[in-house]
Amino acid sequence: MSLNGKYLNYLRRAHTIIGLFAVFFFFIATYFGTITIFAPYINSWQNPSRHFSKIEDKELNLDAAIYKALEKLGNPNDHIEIVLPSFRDKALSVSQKSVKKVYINPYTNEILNTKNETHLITHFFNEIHEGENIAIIGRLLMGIASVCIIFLTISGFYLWLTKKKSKNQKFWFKWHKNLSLVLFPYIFAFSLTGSFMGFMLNISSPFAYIQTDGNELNMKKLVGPIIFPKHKNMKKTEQTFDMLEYSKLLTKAKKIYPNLEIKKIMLYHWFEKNAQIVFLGYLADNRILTGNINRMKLTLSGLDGNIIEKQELSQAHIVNKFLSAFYILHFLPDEGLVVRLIYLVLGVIFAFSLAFGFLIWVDKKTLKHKNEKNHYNIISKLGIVTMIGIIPTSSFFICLYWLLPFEIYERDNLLIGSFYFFWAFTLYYSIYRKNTLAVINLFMILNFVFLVLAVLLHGFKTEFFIWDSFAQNINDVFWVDFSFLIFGVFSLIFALKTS
Amino acid sequence: MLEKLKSYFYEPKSKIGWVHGSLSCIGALLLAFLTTMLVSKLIVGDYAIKIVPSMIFTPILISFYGIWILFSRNLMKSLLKILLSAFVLIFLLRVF
Repeated sequence: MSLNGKYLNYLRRAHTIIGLFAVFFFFIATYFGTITIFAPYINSWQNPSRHFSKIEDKELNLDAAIYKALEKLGNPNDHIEIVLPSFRDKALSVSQKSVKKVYINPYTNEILNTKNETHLITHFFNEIHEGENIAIIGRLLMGIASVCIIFLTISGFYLWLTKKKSKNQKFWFKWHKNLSLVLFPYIFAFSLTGSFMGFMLNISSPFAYIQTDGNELNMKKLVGPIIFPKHKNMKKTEQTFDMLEYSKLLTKAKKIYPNLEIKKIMLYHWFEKNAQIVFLGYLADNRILTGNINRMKLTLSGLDGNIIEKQELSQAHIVNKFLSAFYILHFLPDEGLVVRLIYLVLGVIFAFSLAFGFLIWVDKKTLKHKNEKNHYNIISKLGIVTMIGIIPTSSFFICLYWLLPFEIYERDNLLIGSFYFFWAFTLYYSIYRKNTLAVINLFMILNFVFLVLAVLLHGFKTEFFIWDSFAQNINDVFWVDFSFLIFGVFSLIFALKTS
Repeated sequence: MLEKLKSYFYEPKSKIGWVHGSLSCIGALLLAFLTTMLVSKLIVGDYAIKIVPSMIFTPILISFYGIWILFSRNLMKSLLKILLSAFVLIFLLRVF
């Protein structure tokens, strides 16, 4: 064998071994990441306080809403955060230093009852996506898996370039290769951002060490103040002054900075002489460079509305702009439903690509032992549980979210424990039952049952069945119900066709 | 014993084993970190400009170094690649 042929063999084997390690973690990250793309809509669905629709001819009365919220919070006057209603959250939220939040219905100015509402479904699924559910090492493991995916992407591309084209390619190999090639930019973008957040941010000490000649090991202490500068604290004054109305200040801000899409308002030293109102948002003509990491801001005096500071894009730190563009592919901070649906399609295709890659290995192993009657492969069982078993497990969790009373003690821990218990059951069943197709069929039927139950239980608990949310134009709630039902029906059709 | 050790390190293998693979992983990690630490030292600017781009490119560099170390005829060549490159990078880090 030539040297080149030997090296390609090495690379192929490395691609296989590293792929086997990374596929389990990255499939989970892809599956739950694809679900959490729709977090804003799922949050509206899981929180009954958000089950309200737009009222025609009724606009947000900012002054009354903020006044009511501040009164509920005990009338604080510094570091007040006001998040305006958006597709992310239909309610207006007011909080002080993110400690306690008050939510207001923007059409009726009523304070929303958010007792027992914890965004559990999206928070938990996002935790699994990031690896935070595994204590201490979880995030790092996900980061390592992301680094492995970068290697797999580069090595896979190199292997494709150097491989002799053959017509008789096996199904799994052909489609693993084709789908991965088509999704190359998507895979690379997600694995690079994932590796930065999961791996590099956890192992950044060497960079801090080398920059400070060993005096500092915490990179965030060096970089944090530059990327996230704190608001300059002004001197407190005892006298109180009348402030301009919030609505007038907002109107003035929109006039001064017309292409700033305001998402958040901060109040500092309110009712004092140094009162400041800061409007933060992204630029409508440059979303990429003004994402979450690089919000543009306009600071006005609360007293008379005079401009204190107007931050233009050219004044932003270059690293903030770079990170904004870097993160925007991963987080979609300001993108609406259409882009998220595209990401759903890409996520599903990528999940299939990962599964096909795994099946290449399973196929080879099965062929090797085809004469052994009782051949058993635990890794292929783990693959079934990770890639198929996770589907009814997550729908079981969503169903249980509505089944369990909201008032029970340690509800969140019970739900999370039940999730892992059911996932363990799928492992048990896939080992117990030798017939893989029968296992997959049962999982798909269970998925259908749980999703239909979830939609019905949601209706019983919130008194908003799917037909009610349709009739009252509560679109986000309706479409989440509808999507669950459609996905459930697809699972059932798949189970019936393959039984 | 010495002969056995010599043949283990110098004999080309038909497929990579765990030692060769682990060596590639560890060596790639080490060399990528050393390279980007050196780059961050050479970049002119504040801490954010020096550190963040280097951190972003480290995972990509890990893959390229991994492939480079993997493409070694025998274990000794892999070891030499890692040790010599690390030596040069550490020397440059000390100089700058």
